[in-house]
Amino acid sequence: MVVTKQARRIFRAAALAALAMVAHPGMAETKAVPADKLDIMLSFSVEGGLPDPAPYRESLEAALLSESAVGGLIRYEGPASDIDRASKAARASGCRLLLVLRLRASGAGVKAEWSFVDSALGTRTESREFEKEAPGRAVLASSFWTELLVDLEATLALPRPAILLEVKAPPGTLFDGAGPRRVLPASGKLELVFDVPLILAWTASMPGQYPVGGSLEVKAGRTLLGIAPRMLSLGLGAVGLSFPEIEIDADIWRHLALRAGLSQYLFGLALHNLDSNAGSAAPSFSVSLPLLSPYLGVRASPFEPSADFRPYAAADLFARLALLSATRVYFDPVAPVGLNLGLGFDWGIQRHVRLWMETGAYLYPWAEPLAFLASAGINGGGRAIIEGGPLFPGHPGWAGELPVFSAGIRIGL
Amino acid sequence: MKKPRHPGFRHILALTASLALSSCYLPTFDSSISAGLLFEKELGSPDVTVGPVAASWWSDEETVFLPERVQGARTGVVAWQGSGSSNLAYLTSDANALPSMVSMSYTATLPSGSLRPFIAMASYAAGTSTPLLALQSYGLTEWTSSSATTSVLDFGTSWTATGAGSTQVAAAGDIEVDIIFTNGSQWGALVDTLANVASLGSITAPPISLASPGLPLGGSFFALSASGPFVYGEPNGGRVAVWDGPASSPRILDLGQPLVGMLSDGHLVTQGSLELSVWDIQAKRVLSVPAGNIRFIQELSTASGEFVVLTRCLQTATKSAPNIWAQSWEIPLADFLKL
Repeated sequence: MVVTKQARRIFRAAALAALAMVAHPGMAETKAVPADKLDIMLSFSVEGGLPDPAPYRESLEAALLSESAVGGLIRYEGPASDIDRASKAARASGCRLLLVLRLRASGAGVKAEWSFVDSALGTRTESREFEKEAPGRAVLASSFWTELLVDLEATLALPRPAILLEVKAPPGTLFDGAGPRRVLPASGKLELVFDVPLILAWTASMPGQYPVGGSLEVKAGRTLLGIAPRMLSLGLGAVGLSFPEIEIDADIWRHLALRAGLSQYLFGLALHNLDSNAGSAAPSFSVSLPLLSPYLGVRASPFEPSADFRPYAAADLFARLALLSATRVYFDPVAPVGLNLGLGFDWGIQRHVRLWMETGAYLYPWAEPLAFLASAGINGGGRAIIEGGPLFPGHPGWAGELPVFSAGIRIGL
Repeated sequence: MKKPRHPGFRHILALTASLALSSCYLPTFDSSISAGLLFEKELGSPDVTVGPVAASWWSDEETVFLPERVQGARTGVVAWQGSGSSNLAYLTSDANALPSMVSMSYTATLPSGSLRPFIAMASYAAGTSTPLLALQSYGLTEWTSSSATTSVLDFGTSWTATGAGSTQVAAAGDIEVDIIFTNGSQWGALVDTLANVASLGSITAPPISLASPGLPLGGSFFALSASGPFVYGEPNGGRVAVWDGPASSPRILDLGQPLVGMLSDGHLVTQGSLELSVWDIQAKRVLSVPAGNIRFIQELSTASGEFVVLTRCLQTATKSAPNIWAQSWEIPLADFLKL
């Protein structure tokens, strides 16, 4: 069904919009349409035995397209009596106005009755009508629809309520919502104007802060969105997937975070005992060592903070604090400090919750190699133990162990 | 708006759960070894280090080195607790040969966890080539030499030795042997020099009568002399019975750690998994240090004075049998009490 070249473009847009509605319900609602020209959907119905309505429709479509404010025209083929459905179809097709026209024979003449529906706001103009003698082709092409066109211009001239979104966020925030990404200016305010009410999904990345996001309904009038700084996250994990640890991460740059935490070995799950202790009278599913390990490090990723999947590299300096008596905490003389070099990834499973897994090597540059080897037990603890001699005179030696797995979740604070 | 979960999320969760269930990660940390290393910084370097020696066993349990009773001993017994039994091997080493480990045929089946009282009785050299061992655990019926088959002292069948120990109160080169017996209703003790005890052959009844300590059987037993005081420590516990003399009723001290020795000046030595303590006979603590796997073994009398012998065994993994390092410290008694 081709009306004009312009109409073909509109049909294509409508088809794409319909496909988008099927694939992503609500997507069309987030589309902001420029308001220099508008598209119209025409609901044309005939009653009362009008013998040949086609010239009326064609002349009306031509008349509408001749209006400078009209960019395109789409025919509505659904039931003309269902105005709501027609209005939704218009909104889905990007048509701001729906023209509902009923035409019927009236004696020897023709009676037309119409109204305009604002598909975005849901408002409907008062019905208007005229009754004229049955026109010839010349009249149809020239003056038959004059009253309707005057009414269209009057409708377009009516003031519409503004649809504004005011975003308040720290200057420099990268706001990603409708349209292109925008950077908040020094005022910390950004005003976005929309033609239609919409439900807006947005994200915001701030240098040195944890990425945030959400969705909100932008209604007619002014809607305010305040974005608070969010730069910290709380990590809860398990070293070796056994020993709970806690961590605070501070995003100091989009690609770099500082982290500080505490790994503890006073309590750990020994789930492997479910198997190895089979048959034992009292298998122990927990393990305890008098060791604490505070750490400080960095985590770097080439990916954006808002990426669902973020591989990263990490490096931590950690201390080993041994609880060797009831009254004192000692630096473990076997390996007092260590360096963790790890690779991992985190995975956004909810807006502010990310699952992470990491593996790496622990290097102890200042270790007692023989005591370190002996501490691993005669089975080596199930992992590779490396030990080396002094790096320089007076240096006791170095040692390492790999791989060490850990996993957990990170929650934006 | 809740973010839709990626289909891979379930796989990640499943992977994490699988790793958690199969994980057996333990940090490379042994509090006993760490405490021992801390104690070593006070003691200084070991006087003797023998190793690496290929061990003839696979056991993650603690291993203890009992050097022969001479200064700078590089030979002795290595004892370790297996599953339900204690085991011995003889470590030979001298300056001109690689150290080696010879399994001893004598193995005593002891209750699990009874290694501590078992080792409190050290081996004996005394200028002979056959160190002697007293297995101070409940059920002891004979005193055997390290050659494993020679019965040195037969306790008969009426009395059962329930605990033993030794003290350095005899002349240099000899030790005093302390053994406590019960026949079910009565208690008694044998306290004499090793030279005399070795010549007894057998006994039918202990020469010293004692009142019942009222503690579980199978502990450690020490005496300062045949006239007392006598001390008996419960196995794997901190309670100690003290008889001030043969006719005295025992009083019970709670020292919190197993009794492992009695010094020639009457001080008691206790040692737990991390802490080594010295007490006077009235249970006043005079020393307490985290010693870890550095174990009090015995007191040694030499021409240059009294020494406390401490030892440590380290085991490390290899592709075959574990390697053993045996180390010992000989600390003058006066210095030891000032640690």
